[in-house]
Amino acid sequence: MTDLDSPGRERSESGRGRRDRRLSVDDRGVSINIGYTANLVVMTVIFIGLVTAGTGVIDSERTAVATTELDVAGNQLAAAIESTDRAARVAKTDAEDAEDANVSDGNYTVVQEVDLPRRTADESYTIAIEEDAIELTADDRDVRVVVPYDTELEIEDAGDLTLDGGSIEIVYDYDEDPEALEVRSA
Amino acid sequence: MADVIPWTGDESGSDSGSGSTDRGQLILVTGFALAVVFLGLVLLLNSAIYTENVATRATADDPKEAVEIREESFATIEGYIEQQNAMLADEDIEDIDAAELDDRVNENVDRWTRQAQDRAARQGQQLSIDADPIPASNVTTTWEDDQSDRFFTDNRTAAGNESWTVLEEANATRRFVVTIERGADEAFGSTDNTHVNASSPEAGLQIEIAEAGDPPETVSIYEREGTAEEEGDRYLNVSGANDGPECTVRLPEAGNVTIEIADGNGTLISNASAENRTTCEAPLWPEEIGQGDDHEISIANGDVAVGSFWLVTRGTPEDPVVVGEAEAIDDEIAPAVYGVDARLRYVTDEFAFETATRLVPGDPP
Repeated sequence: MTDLDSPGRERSESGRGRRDRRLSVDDRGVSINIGYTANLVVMTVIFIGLVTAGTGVIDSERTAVATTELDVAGNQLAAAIESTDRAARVAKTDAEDAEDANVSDGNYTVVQEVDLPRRTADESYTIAIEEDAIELTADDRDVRVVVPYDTELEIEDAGDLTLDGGSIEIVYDYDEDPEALEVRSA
Repeated sequence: MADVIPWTGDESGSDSGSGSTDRGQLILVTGFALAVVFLGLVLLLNSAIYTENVATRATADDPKEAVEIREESFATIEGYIEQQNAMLADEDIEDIDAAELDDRVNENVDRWTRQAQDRAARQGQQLSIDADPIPASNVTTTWEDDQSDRFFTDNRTAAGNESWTVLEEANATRRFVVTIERGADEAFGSTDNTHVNASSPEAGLQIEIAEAGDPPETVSIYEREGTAEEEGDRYLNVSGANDGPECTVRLPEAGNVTIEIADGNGTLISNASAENRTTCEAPLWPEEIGQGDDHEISIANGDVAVGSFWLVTRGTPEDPVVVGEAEAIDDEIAPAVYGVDARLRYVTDEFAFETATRLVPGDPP
């Protein structure tokens, strides 16, 4: 409702001289309050729209970043497992030659530590070691990466082995198991 | 609708001021919202850039380097052993004892090990190498000479004893190499291309290996004609001591043939260039021989072939090698380092590698 007694209205009247106060000649669409409210509503709608759009963009970027980071971590782990396998096979051959020669004095061990990030895109993830691949899965996001690997020695408990992100240790000990590598959290 | 009529009177009115102020507030809030969005994107992109940097960074492949250092270290130690044995070849076995042999090896290995450890330390690696000479008393190596028509008899002539004892007592014979010389038809008084004058295992050049109290096992070398399915005319056969399949190699028109027998398996090499090489699938040497039990090595039918042979054997301080009393042996025995037991340990901040092996240079891989 138009406030005919508002100070602005009075100034308007005094500045323009006496103005006809009848509604039929009132050339204003809304009052100041409505105008202000409309501005607030428009700003709010725009803000919400921007935030919503921005959230969507951020979310998609986080998913892409998480996928990339999991892929990098998986490849690092796979490369470490394969290189440890090569060194372990050398130690295994030496151990077998020593057994053939009845030489018992020696240790045949390989230990490799891999520093993987604990979180990717600010989210934790899990690592599942399968028989021929490593599966990395983000805990709070539908992101799953599979990285294949190839070793001659088998991985102990492959298929049932799940680790959290972070430092991983790959261990070979001929005396404990000459045919397998052990992968565990450091 | 808002008041959009321009005000031409008192400019201090709140209506016009509130409109521009509202628009200014709208721009300000929008700016804040965009800043927040951009900040979030920047944080995420920074994470992605860091990940890419880490992924593409060149990394030190510790396992590969450890294996390379192992190969280099063990090859170097084997080289030192071979070098010592070459130097010892001209010395009298009576003048060298086991302790002196050990000292010679240890001195060279220790010197190289210190250099390797210093080099590794400068690269942030910890390297530890130990090499202990295998305990031995005296060691017999080759007898080679430049005479022709050297039969495998006890005095190397056609008139010598064809059956004789090379080693009466040894603890571990790990390699036996026989070279059959060709082109010596005159030795047999024949003009054909036969250089092992025997065509059956029973008549061939025989190396007998007998462990104490057991009947001997025999490695037999003979020649035969090629079959209809084979391409060549002449073949050399070696029958192993384990009743396994025989090993055979085609003989070219000329060139010596070398039979290497090491710890069970054997390799036949025809021609000095070793282009024609056969690796025997079945072991030629008796299994378990030379693993600590005394054994005797003899030669039979030594007059069917000419050539040379050498072997590496050892005794222990408690049980030294006793060679046969053949005339052919006297000038050809030489002391040698039998081998070493080497241990290697390689450690970095994220990797550890430990292994051990027995290094016996000269054995085929």
